[in-house]
Amino acid sequence: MIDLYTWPTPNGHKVHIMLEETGLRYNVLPINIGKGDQFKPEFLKISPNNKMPALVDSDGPDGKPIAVFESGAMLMYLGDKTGKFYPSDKRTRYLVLQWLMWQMGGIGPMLGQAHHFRNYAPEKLAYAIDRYSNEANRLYGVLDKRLTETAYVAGEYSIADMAIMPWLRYPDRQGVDMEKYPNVKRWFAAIAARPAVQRALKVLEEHVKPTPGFSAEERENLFGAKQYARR
Amino acid sequence: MSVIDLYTFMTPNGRKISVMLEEVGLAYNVHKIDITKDEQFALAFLKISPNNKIPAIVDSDGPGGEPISLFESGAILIYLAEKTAGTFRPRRAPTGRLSSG
Repeated sequence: MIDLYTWPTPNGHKVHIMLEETGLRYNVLPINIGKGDQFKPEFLKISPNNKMPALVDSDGPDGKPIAVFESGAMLMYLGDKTGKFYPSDKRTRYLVLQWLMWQMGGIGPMLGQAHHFRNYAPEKLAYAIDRYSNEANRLYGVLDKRLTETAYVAGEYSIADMAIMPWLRYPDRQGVDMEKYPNVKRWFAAIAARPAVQRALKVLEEHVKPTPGFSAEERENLFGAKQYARR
Repeated sequence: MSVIDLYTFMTPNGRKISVMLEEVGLAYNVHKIDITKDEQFALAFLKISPNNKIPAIVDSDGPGGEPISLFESGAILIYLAEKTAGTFRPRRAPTGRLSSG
């Protein structure tokens, strides 16, 4: 059995999608990041970066339990565990890996910053808004070009697509007009139509807040000084 | 024998790969991509690095003995670790006596 520590964010949804696509059974254990659950000592034991998602699989390598943090590592782990969506053919595997790393190093951090400075920052900082919105558009452009060559980023649908897709649900909040990226739009629609993806995006959806409707406590837990304490 | 062409610059992400190549002792050619002179935007570089970022490598001896190009430093590190038989990526512990390898 897999215990999944998660919240309805893009990084959480990556793993929800993979679990739904592979049909693995899992328990959803909410880590309410607005309430500060991510800072609890018991969560820190399985997630040393104090971030969701993380998982504990009772049936890890050699049949012993294993804890995994970092959504990209979790996708690779689940791909290897199930033999699905992370091919063993080396060329395809390295293609998946490159685009997965591109998501982990580019799409996630940069779109996250675009989102933050456009929607959540207490001041409107033009330099930051421009920097990250421009980078968001550049990344959509890189993806759009790639998708002129292939249906999915690594050819067949894979963990790389699952990692990227949840970050591209609200392009307007990132300063992006999806109409400028028709191949991304086509790719996004194909993934969004998958029943497993639709089930995945409903995980904990009752907790999704309209942007930027955070309380003072949530704001402190998400963006305040608390996250910077050494643990 | 494989020859690795490394397209890089003196940044943390570039150094990740040169550290790994030095640690495993693979032969490599360094190709400077001067990101202050917009060399990362050259069309020839874009072909191996679709994100226009360093580092990237081309290995003449990829899977199946055919050349392969890779971008993203994390993916390159995993590729090089697997190519060099897991030198810096832990393998499953051998059962029984310790392996001399």
